[in-house]
Amino acid sequence: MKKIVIVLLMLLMMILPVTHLKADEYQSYQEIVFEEEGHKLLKEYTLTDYKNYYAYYTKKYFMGWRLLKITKNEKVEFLSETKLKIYNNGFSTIKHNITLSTKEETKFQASASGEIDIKVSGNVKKFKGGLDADIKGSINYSKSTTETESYEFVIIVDPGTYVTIVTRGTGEISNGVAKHYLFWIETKKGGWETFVVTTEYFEIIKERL
Amino acid sequence: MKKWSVLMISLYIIAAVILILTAPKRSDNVRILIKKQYYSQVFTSNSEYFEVILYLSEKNTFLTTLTAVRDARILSDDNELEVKITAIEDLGFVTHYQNDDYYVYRLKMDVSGYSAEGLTIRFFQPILSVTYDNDETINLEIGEVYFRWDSIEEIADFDYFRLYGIYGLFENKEMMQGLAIGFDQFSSGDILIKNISIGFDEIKVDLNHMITTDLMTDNQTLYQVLGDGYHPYETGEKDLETLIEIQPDVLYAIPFRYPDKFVDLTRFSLIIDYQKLGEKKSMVIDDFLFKSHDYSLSEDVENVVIIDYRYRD
Repeated sequence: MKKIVIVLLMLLMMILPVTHLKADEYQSYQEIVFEEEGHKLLKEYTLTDYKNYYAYYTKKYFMGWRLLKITKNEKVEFLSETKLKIYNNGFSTIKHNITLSTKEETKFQASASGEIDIKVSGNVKKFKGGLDADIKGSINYSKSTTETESYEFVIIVDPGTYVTIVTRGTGEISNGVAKHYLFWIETKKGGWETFVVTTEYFEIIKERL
Repeated sequence: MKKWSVLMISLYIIAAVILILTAPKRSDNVRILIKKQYYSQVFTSNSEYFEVILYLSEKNTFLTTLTAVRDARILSDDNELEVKITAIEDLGFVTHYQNDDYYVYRLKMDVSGYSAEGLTIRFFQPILSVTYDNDETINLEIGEVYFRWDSIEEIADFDYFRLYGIYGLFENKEMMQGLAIGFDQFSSGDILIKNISIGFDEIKVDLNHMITTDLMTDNQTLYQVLGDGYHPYETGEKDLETLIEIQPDVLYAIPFRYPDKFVDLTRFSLIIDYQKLGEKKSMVIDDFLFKSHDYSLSEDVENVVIIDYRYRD
């Protein structure tokens, strides 16, 4: 019986996604759907996936990072977080003058697992230790040109209602694993993922409380 | 001693030659690009501004020096509006167009001096004319402009409960095919929508072909759902006005018809003309960003105007 439990637990560990993910904002989006089937987000990689991907490394390297791309520039559609929510619990209409802006830090996002780390400096996110240039060079990364923009918008919130502004959009995801070597010794390994927003669409919803 | 002097002079000459040869050559010509667009904006406060995006082949010229600007105005055959350029922002990236690189700048303009309630100005094919301290004037064709100065007020009769743009591919280009909008009615009596406008007569919000969004599926665009007989560039029907009785809790998909060319619509205001008990009224929805702007240029971007500015000899 004990053996069966151990085997079951091991199987469960193999199937369950790896949880020690250094995740960026997009991981909390309500929905991310790949246009083409057969792709996974990094957070959905299982231990078996990692094991299989690491098995591609058949020889040891002298120095530096070695990348394995599993998903490269795959198009996704996403339903993002609510950008704004305004309640009117009162009995009279309220008028809000709100400033809406698209944030630069949402344009390029990154996640990592295992021994790969991410460095955030201001709005710039990078993979640590020279891995950043390797990844960006291998995935046709180009700096986002949907720049930060902001504008004012007046919205009427009727009594007993609330207003939400939500974002949908399209983007590209690349992910895979990487190993770092120093004098033929493997020093680090883990998973990496990049998410680049291509287009954002905005929507206003007014609902009854 | 003489040897040292000769050596030093030679080194100076070599250094001077290297500096002259490697010094960046100042171009005699600056190429300015601008993408003609439809601008539909409601100004509700003094802090709102009008902006256009410019693409320049050179950096650090007087053309993007704010303090060098002496005058700026939007001009069309019928209208003229003085504007104050308050910022010229370098967006910090380069875009590629027809084998050349261009720096991207944002011109922000203050138009708050015209706060007359309900004032509207429609500029037909206007130019943004910018005059600099050196007496040079650059005339930029910016597209089409609709401005309205208004405070957005509550409408006692009805309001919208959902609003978003319906985008989809048409002739291999993503365009705004229509608008999804639903209404809540607050007072009794039929409300008849007569017309919805985004400020430009040539872009029709086609109420005659309005459908409910439940007829749409994920893999079909609005124009596909409307069938082969529907073409967004056919503006044969001169009067698309009609009277639509609004139904609460129904989300409508209203197609757009365009002049005979592709139009990239991302942000605009809506003016809804309606009738309640025979009385004509209007509801204004502030300009909303339906889709993020893409500031990069590519070869398939249409309506790009090229201006070559040549420095005087």
